[in-house]
Amino acid sequence: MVKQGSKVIRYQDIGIFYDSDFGFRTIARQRVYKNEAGTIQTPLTNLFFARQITTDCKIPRAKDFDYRYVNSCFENASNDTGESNLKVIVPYAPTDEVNHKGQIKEIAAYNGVLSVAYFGETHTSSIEKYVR
Amino acid sequence: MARYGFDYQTDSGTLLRSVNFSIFVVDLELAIAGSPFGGERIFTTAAFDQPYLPSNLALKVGCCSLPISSPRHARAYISDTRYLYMPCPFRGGAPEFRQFFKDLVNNALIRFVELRGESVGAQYTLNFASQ
Repeated sequence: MVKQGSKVIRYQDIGIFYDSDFGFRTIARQRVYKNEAGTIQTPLTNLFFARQITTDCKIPRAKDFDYRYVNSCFENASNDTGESNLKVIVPYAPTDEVNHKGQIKEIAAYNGVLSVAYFGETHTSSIEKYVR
Repeated sequence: MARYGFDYQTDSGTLLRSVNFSIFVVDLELAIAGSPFGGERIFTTAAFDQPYLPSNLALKVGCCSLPISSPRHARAYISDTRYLYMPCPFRGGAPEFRQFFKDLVNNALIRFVELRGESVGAQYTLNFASQ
């Protein structure tokens, strides 16, 4: 039973293999949002699913850095702004150019996506351990 | 604020030639004018910047403005509350990218280094990915 006036957010976490800008591979946790019918709204595409971890394992909590991602903008009349921005992790390193660009193009072509904006990998703690 | 120019490669591989950029110091404790928040920029000179620059940063005369929202850059802390804002022209995964950060980490004048990723607006993201 959902309390009146409260907002229900349905989501699921998907684990993917992620290649860092500093050359190491880790497991990233993608949060995907679902509508009432249980359909995923986040624009996950073939190149995203190619990195999905299909074995039964525990997906770790978020790491100490922010993954590179694409913000995909949808029209959504139920939000005050009239839009919703859903985030999709780009697990391919920039130097893996074909897949990196390919995933961005796939997201832009996804049904309902109006525009895409890109944000690179960010480390808000010391990166010393990666270059030693 | 010392101004420079370099060839900047976006994460999706587009090479933006001879773009302007600047290096400056941010003081996290010094309030921005008219605001209660810290983070005031302190303009530096080329002579000040010189000992901090990574060896593989090929500087040239800049002429074009950078079309993306913000370039990837290092925050190289020179004290607990002050960091140098230093754009990195090399994309992640490239050997030059690693060298750039290695030089900063190994610089005795720098305490620690963080990476802030580039931000490309909706106007250019698909455009660059399609090139």
